[in-house]
Amino acid sequence: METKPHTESRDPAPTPLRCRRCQSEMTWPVVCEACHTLYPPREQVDYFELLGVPRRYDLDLEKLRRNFLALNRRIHPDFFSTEEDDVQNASMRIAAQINTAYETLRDPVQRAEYILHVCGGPGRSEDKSVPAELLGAVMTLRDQIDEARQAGDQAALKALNQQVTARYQEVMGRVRALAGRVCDSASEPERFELRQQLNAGQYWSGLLRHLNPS
Amino acid sequence: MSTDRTDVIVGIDLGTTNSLVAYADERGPRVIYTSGDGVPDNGMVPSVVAIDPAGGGVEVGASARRHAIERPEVTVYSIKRLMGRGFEDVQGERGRLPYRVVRRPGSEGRDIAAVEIGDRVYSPPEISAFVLADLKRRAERHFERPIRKAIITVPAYFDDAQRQATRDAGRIAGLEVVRIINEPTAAALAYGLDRTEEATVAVYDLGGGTFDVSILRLAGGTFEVLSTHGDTHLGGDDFDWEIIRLVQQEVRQRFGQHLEFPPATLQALRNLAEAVKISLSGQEQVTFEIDLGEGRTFHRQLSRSELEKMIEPYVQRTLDSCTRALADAKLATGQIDQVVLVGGSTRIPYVRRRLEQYFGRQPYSALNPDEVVALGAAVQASVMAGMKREVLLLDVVPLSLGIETLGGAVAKLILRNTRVPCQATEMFTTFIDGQTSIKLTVLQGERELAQDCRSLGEFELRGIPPMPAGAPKVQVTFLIDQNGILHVSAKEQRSGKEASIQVIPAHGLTRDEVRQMEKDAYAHAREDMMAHRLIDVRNQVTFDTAKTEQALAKAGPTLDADLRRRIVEAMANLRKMAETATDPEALNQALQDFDRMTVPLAEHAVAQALKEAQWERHE
Repeated sequence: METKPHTESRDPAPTPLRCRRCQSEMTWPVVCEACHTLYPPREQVDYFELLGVPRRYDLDLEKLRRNFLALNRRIHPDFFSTEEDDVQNASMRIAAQINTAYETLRDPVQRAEYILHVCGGPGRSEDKSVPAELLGAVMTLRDQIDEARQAGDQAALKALNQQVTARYQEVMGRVRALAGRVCDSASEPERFELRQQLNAGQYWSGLLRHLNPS
Repeated sequence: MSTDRTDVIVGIDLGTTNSLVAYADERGPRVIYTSGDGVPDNGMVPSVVAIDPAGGGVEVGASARRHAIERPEVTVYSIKRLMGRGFEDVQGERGRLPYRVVRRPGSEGRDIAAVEIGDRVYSPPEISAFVLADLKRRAERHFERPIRKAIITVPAYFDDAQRQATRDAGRIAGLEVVRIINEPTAAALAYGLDRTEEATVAVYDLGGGTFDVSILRLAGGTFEVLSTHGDTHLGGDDFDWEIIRLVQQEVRQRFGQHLEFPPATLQALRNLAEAVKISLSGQEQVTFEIDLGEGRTFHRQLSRSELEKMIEPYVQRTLDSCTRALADAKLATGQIDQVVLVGGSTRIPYVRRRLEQYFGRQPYSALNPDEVVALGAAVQASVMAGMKREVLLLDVVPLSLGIETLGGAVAKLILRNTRVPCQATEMFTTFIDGQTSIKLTVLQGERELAQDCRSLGEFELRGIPPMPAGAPKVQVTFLIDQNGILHVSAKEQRSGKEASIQVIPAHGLTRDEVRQMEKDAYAHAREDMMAHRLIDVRNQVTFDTAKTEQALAKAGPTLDADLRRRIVEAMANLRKMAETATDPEALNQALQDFDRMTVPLAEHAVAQALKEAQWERHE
């Protein structure tokens, strides 16, 4: 069983991969479709590369999903249950990694964070700074929500919900614009703003949960 | 362990009330409708086990259920409700169960609910193993060869401990559980096989003791679970108990508050309540009578609407679960293309009506709701056996996984409804210089405090190289496999040393315990096999001696007198031996000897027949 990482390349369109066992050209970095050899990726694998999509923020989500399913049809542990233990194990680990990669890239916030992570600079968790007026605005709105809730004022709650949703969407629009540029232009002020906006998004989605507890 | 390609894998629905075994061949999945003794039936084995405390053996299924009234204290049903649970967890169940539920002894640091019968204590996996062994025997009779592998279904909302307990039960029954799949997912497999267009489906599974709802997206053979929710303690049993409580209350009002309901009466009442509930699905009202002895008769008419009022809170709870599952799938009721019904309790018209109102569409139940889960398990079995490649099952973990932090809070590592297999890693370090082990408490549940979640157990990471406090970096990987079962591994990053992990499951059996039970069960199975073999050989003795007797009578005076005398003598000896024999092989040897000795008699009969034939021809 081959367990070494198969490629060090960060380029989404590298020279074709070849299976070390049968020398066939490989579509996916983790499995050879010709001889079914599995190549469990290293921990820091590039999620874009893993799922066969270009490394950029604006993704074709349908294609991402199609690739995710196509890949699962080749590596899912259920198809390896008649194999030796180490092969079963490898398929399980690959499946787990593919699931993480898919969840990360599918979600707009997580995708932006991931792009920050792969294109250098500290991630959101290492830099908790937020836009200047954010905390004040969040606190004021939270007080208004609690007041409206105590008063049972449904109309006010609805208006507040709209207001918070709009703020969240505004932040996400900014995230989209910035994350789309991070890997290309990669200026530090832009990365800094992206981190700030992502942190702001956390506050707004937290407030939305506070408004609509499940 | 490598899997032999030629092995048959069966699909098993191990239910609270009934269990079924199914298989799939090129014509599709089918339930096995013949008992282990070759008697045709409806395929449903009641999940009931009657154990003779005097050591007289174990009965399973319909025959065990017949004992429920005479011997309620040794007849175990609804064991699924105790699987993977602690004694503290099941306090609510105890009043309902006529058998003795105790805390399993000899399980230091753990809390396992168990069943006491006579002077023996059985853990729930051992009881379930009896049911599984019966299903295994069914399949073996059907295929006429040993069955060693199975897929077993569990409620989607089962936690890690409940899944492990199910797998342990399989092992004790001599079955390798190659996969555990969720019941609603199995049902979708049975339904969605030929579907090619994309559809979003809600599977509503209300069984005897558990409730699940799963939202799935089906497309071209892919079964993708988007979310699941449920309650492992909500089912048709609860409806029965509402009727029982009503009767008890009214009986006491009429005949005195002091009136007791001994286990046998309670059991009879349970059977009655179930029958009443079922009847009310077909008719508007039911009249029943209970003879309480001493000339006291309780007479009652119960209407469907009365029953509906009683079960309304339960049905509401199932709909609340649907709301949560939809929210997690980020879908509205209008986006569900089909609502599929699974489980016997979905036959209740009220359940269907409320569901129809909730989803705004008529629920769908083309397949028998009792069989659909077993059929789906059989479909997955054919995937696992390598017979079928077009099915791809992508399921989720029903409950969040976390670890207890200082102060009793929970740090969540994997969120509920994350697709499985999935993994999370976390770094840990030491607090004391030279510390070589770290203890973690792993939890499952949605609440913020450790005490409100279920503990899966304590994981002790051992073999950390001694270093100053805070220096070791232990990376712990929590992996939930495709069966929803947790695997933990740990590595100290500085030394690269793999840490060993000692697991104390909070509500489960250790590996050694399961192994011991497996051995014991195997020994019992051998005893049972001996008993069966003895019966078979005895029958053969009866048959052969009767034939010999006939042959002797027919042979008449032409047979050598000495031979006749010796055969008669040997026949008497063999019959005597058959009455007292305990060793089937010794008896079989004696039978073989006897058969050899009667060969001249058979030859004599053949010669005589030939002579008669020739004589006929001459005429």
